[in-house]
Amino acid sequence: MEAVIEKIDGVTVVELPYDKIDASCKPEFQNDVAVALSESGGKVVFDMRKVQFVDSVGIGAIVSCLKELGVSGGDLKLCHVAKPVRSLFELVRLHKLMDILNTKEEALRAFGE
Amino acid sequence: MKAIIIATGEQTGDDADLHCYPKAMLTLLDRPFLQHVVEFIVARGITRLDFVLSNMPEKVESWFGNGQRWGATIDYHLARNADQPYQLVKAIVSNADDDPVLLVHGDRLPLDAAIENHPNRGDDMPITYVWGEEAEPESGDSHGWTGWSWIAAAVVRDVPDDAGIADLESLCIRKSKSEGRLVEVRRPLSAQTYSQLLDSQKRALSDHASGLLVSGREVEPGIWISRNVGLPSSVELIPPVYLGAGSRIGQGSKLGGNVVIGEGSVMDRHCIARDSLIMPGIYVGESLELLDLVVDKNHVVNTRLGANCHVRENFLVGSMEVGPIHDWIAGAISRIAALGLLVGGTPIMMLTAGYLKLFRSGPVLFHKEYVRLPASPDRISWPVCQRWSFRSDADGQRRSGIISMLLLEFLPALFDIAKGDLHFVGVAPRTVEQLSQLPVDWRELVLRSKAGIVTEASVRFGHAPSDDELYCAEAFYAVNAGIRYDLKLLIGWMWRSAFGKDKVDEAMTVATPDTLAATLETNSDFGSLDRIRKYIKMVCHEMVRPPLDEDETYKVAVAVQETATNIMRHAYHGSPDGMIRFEADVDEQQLTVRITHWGEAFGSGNIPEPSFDKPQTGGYGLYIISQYIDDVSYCCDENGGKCVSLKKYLRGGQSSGSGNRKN
Repeated sequence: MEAVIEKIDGVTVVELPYDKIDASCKPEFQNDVAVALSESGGKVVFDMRKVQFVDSVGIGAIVSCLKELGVSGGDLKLCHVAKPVRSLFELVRLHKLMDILNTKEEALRAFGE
Repeated sequence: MKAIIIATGEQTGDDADLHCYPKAMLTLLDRPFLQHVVEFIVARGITRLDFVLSNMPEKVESWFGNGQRWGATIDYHLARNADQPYQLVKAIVSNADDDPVLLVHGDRLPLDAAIENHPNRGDDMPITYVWGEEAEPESGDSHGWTGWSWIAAAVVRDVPDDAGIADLESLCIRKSKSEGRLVEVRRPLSAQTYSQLLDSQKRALSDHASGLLVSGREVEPGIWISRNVGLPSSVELIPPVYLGAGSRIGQGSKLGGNVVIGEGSVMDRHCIARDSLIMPGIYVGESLELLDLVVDKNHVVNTRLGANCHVRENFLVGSMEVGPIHDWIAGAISRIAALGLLVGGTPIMMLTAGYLKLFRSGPVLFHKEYVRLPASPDRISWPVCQRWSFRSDADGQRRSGIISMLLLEFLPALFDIAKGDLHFVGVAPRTVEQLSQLPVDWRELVLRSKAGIVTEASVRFGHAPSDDELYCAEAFYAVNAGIRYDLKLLIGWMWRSAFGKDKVDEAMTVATPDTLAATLETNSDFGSLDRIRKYIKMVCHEMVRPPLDEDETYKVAVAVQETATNIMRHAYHGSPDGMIRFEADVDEQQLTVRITHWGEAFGSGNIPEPSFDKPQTGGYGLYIISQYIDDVSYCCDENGGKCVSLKKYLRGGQSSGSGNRKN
């Protein structure tokens, strides 16, 4: 499975193809998103509609992407986050570090404003 | 029609913040203020609600869920900055196809029929609701904003991303004057500050709670009593006063005016309360005077002074102080009794040891470390003792009958009781690590108590009390301890062990008909994580009755997977050849997953809270486990395995969630 990457109005939208982000698929995740981040121009949305499980390793991997983008002044937003995953993100206050939006359209609009 | 409810829990600069809830979740009469807001909106036919949250969003989301209970559909949006949430408001409004949207600040509620139900698309916007009583002459404006307006996309198009509430207020009022309408309504009820909340409860009660859904009934003007309230005739009630469901008021107390006693709270004898809110589930000790206070657990906010006080003394839960001579006499009786029992019980102990040696694998006697109580608050000076037991820590966590408890736990502990290190009755003995991990108020309370084999919690709540039950029991015991009370507890414990719910029929049993168990063994390969998750899902759905819902299952799965990942990384250092065993036990009270490995021991110390202020790529794992699981313990088994035990309490088939004390 490879991540589906599309560019919409200068924003790179990466639809993550995994049902989980944890230690078992972290290398795959890092490989897939590395390409997307390098070619993104700084504005990236992770569409997480297929991801049903994330643990602290997955959170660390996502935060790494945010930090990498932050170095060049870019930003990362998440959308379509499943409810239990979202609760986990809220527990570790991830929503204070990056925008977590309900839909892809909201994420694109947030970049547009 | 849609409403946007801003409930970001922004800090008001009020030092008295409880830091446990967003202010809108504080109680107004019988339910959270925000619930009154939602009910008011839904009653006007608006059932699509968009919450904008920021601080502690999980508190609001877990309370309201998907909104089905209120006949509404709720979407949640998360703002990075609690003070500047209006960029999200713009996005939501522009998504509403030019339909007017009701913008609501969830900590204010103008109970007024003038709030329109359904303005039309063509109506002039915005419609802003103001009240006139608190005009600010120096600003040249004769109105105050209720925080409620009907708006459309065009109204908020020009709102800058960093706009605060003052910017939005001036925009809404300016545009309403020029393009829309200003509508004057009654002054809103407010939970913006604690003093406003107390003022709101007074107004709501004085006004017969009109416009609010409130349980209970007004038995006399201004006196509200809910169901199942314990109210002796000697209590004086001065209106307005509201007594929540299941509350108990002690004899000779005087409550009012403007007092709300939350659901299940207990006021002991001869208390006086005025202009105060006692949150649900609080015990207030004898002869206390509460004036202008909001009380929640051991936090007290004085609204007159605007100060938050964390109460470390135990006077909130009792007023009895026992003198040193009384302590000495009680200690001496306990030691003499233990010595007598030891002499008489030695043959039985020898027989038990012989039986265990012959019929049980592993060591016969176990050392258990604990801190000798009472102790000073300084951790360095905590005296550590060792007590003997015929049971390992892991076995001790299982339910057992009275014979098993007496033979395996009680008899060996007589040595320690005779030495004076331990008592028959007291708070649960704890290790230095366990004591360090307690919240500061709880720890100080334990440090002033004595440790014992029989605990108040085991008598009141049985084998597996939740965090809150344990805290309440230990707080109650700390102020009631005495020879007579200890004797009463000892008898109560024996009665409960013999005839109570926790009784099991066989003396040394680990499996009963109402206990289910399942085991999984995997290697320490990250590829095994999928199997582990499936196993946990099976346990939560097929062994727990009724099954845990998806959210609770997810929490258990995350906690178990975090533990497994830590074992793979730190105990086996990434080698995939190690073995990990998962044993799940389910009974009517708890789900326990015991994870055993044979790698290097790691991490049973303090759980550091990660820094939430800056991006951090690691350090979340132990924090997540501590928040998603009710009890975590570490031990070694007789075969050299290192065990991590994760315990989730079940209440009527539903998990207790992450305990209330975990704020």
